Amino acid sequence: MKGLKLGQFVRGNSIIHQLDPRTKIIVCLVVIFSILINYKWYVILLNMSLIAAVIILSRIEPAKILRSLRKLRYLFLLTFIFQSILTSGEPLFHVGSVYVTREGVSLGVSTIFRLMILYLCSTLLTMTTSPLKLASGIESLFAPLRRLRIPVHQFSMLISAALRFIPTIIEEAQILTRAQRSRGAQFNSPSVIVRIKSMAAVLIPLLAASLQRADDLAAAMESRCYTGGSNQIRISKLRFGKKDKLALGLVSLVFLVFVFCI
Amino acid sequence: MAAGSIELINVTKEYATGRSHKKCALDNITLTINQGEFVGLVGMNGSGKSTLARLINGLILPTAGKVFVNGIDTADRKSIIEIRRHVGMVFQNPDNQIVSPIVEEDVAFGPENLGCYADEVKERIDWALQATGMDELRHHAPYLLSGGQKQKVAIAAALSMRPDYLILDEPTSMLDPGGKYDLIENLKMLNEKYGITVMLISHHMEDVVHADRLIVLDQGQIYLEGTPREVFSSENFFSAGFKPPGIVQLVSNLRKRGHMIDENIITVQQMVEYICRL
Repeated sequence: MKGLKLGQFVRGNSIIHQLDPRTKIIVCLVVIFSILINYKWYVILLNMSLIAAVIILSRIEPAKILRSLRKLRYLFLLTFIFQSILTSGEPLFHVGSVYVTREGVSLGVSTIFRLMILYLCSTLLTMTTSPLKLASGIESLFAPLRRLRIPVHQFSMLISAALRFIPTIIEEAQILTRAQRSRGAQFNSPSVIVRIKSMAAVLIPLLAASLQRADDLAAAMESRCYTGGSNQIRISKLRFGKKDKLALGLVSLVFLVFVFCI
Repeated sequence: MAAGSIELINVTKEYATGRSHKKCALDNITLTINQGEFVGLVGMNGSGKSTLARLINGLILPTAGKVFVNGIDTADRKSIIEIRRHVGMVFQNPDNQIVSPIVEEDVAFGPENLGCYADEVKERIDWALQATGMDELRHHAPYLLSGGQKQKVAIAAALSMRPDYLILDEPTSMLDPGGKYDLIENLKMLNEKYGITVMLISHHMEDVVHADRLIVLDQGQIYLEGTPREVFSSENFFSAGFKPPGIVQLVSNLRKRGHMIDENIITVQQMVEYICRL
């Protein structure tokens, strides 16, 4: 399996790739907050069009991103069902004693879009920013928190290492699953108990291997003179240029107008 | 304690296993590795090879004895960066030592930790990637490369710190024969062209036939030491359960049958040349 992995960095030289990681993190946060505060249709539309623009500009194949959305279809479905039957309001129709309301349906649809926006926006961030750059970006943005004795550097390194190891661990999980299946593990057994027991045979070796990996990675990083401290050189490499100012200015203006004025 | 060498003086390393049990990984080892050497280190599983490697760059400290790198004691925690800058390490599993999903960024990790400025970092990356023949793949994602290429990225990452010594802990054990051959050739080149001291740890005898000096570890002690030729022909080598490379076995079997073949032949290449001269 050497395909594209969920949220994995895709090499590229597009304008989105070139933007400063801090710009992308800020825009991502703006999108997330706007959608959490205000979920009127025009905010959703604005966010969706922004995401569409980013996808086009980043030159990532849209099909790949849409395919990854498919994994969330059950979540979307369940959300929609619960929202539409549990919201009180003007009833549209009913099945037995369960009433589906107009308000519920519209809330359900908007919730699906909000989930989609949350998902797409974070995926696009990690797809267009290399983990080390993302780490430097987070570290630089949240540097003031260091005054509160929050280990900002450690957190950012943690995120970066986690992102780096997603494909490796997925690959390992697939190998383990195949190995256990070839020994007769029943991953598709009708009995839930049997399935859970089979999963344990994958998860336990996976956990053990991950701990081994962590140990190896620590030794390798230490051997390369990593001391666990924050790295000013890496942070100073970030350049907040004209493009970033332009992108950030544009996005914040549009959002201020939409979210608060209308 | 001359500069330009790695010295281990009466080094013992014990690991605690359980409450009162101790396992002795290395037992009173004294060893000197000089600048510019190509040293092969072989031994069975659990003979203390990896422990020895980790002692040299101060990842672990000896229970007793001293380790000096260019005259600096590894127990001196203030100089640990200085020591690690001189001693590049490459480990067994290429996946677990790569920090970034871009080759170039991964190689930059070391110099950036050393506090080099952008120009210097770039210069070091260029050099390290060119020395390992990876410059065409500099923007690639390491997880899409082959095992041998990944391992070369790891070597480039170590080289970017401009080390005097390169210690490789079983770098070939997860590679296919082609990748293995490439890697060994690359190490030979680094040793000859750039004068980098190479210490190659392996349990495959074929990997270390080109070494200037071969050290055989057994149960935490230096069992044999000498040129590959000397080690392979030693009686003790066989009796400890080691097997020399196929070619060496072939030569000795042929000699037993009365064919007077040059006993210095230890590689396929040499064998081919010898046969062509007949």
